[in-house]
Amino acid sequence: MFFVKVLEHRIHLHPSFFGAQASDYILDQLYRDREGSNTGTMMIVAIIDVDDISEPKIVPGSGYAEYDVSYRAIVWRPFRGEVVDGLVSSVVNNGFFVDVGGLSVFVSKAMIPPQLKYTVEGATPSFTDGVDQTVERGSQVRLRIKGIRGEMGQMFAIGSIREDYLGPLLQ
Amino acid sequence: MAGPPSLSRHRPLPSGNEEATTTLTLGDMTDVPTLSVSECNELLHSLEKQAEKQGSRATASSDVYLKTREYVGMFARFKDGKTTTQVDHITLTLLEKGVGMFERAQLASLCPDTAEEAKTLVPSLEDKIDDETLQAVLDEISKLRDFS
Repeated sequence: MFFVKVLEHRIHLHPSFFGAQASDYILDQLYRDREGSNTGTMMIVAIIDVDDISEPKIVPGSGYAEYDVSYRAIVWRPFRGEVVDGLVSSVVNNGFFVDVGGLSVFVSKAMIPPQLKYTVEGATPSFTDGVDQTVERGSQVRLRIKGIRGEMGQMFAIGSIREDYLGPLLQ
Repeated sequence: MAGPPSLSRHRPLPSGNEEATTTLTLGDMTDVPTLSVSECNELLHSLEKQAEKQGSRATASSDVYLKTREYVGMFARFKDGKTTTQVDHITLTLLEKGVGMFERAQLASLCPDTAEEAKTLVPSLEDKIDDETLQAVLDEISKLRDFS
């Protein structure tokens, strides 16, 4: 789910940047550091605006100035149990991978309804029941997130389509 | 006798138990405004336009940004700014009826057809709203959908 959240970030500025342009450097640094970053539980998609840049404080012993910046950002955070739509990025014999924004979700064979069978026709592997439901690379599916593991900088998730109203979307 | 007052920060609550099943535990995202996929699409568009006009900051080129951009472009149910606002108005009435912001955005993103489908996809809705009211809102939303 996408959220609009107020976040804070602390930036250290080298003394050689002190001057009238200091706040520009701070903003550049903020956008460079935070936009597109992944904290392990959420992803910062884009910064909307900057609320406030605090008065700088000189860090004793180093000469660096310390700024606290508070900003509003569009944040994407998945939750266990949430239902999302996604695009299938690859199909392998024991499941398939779905891209949901910047998160890659794996749906394993145990989480796919038994009537969907793994088949390889020509060069395109797919899960299909032979009638109207097909999951192949490029199809859109609706899935429920079953578990998320987050580490600094990356996130992994597993999903399920073995429930009512989940599975490939009709297009 | 009471000890000295504690000067240390409170330990943050352990994370990892957040969930959106029949109970909604959103951790530090509780009561944070949510965006549906279409609203996020609109917001990213307007941010891009704003950056273009000012010509100051190049639009972000991070992996997360580009992937999300593509994702919301593909899965936004309402591509047009006007309809997104209309849907927003319709779903805002749900907030007065006791539905949380998280469920509101889920409904606007997933666009279920029936109240039963909605309650299966978003289980925390179960005892927050009755089927008739929910169905009426869902019907109004689906009228605005563009299937072309």
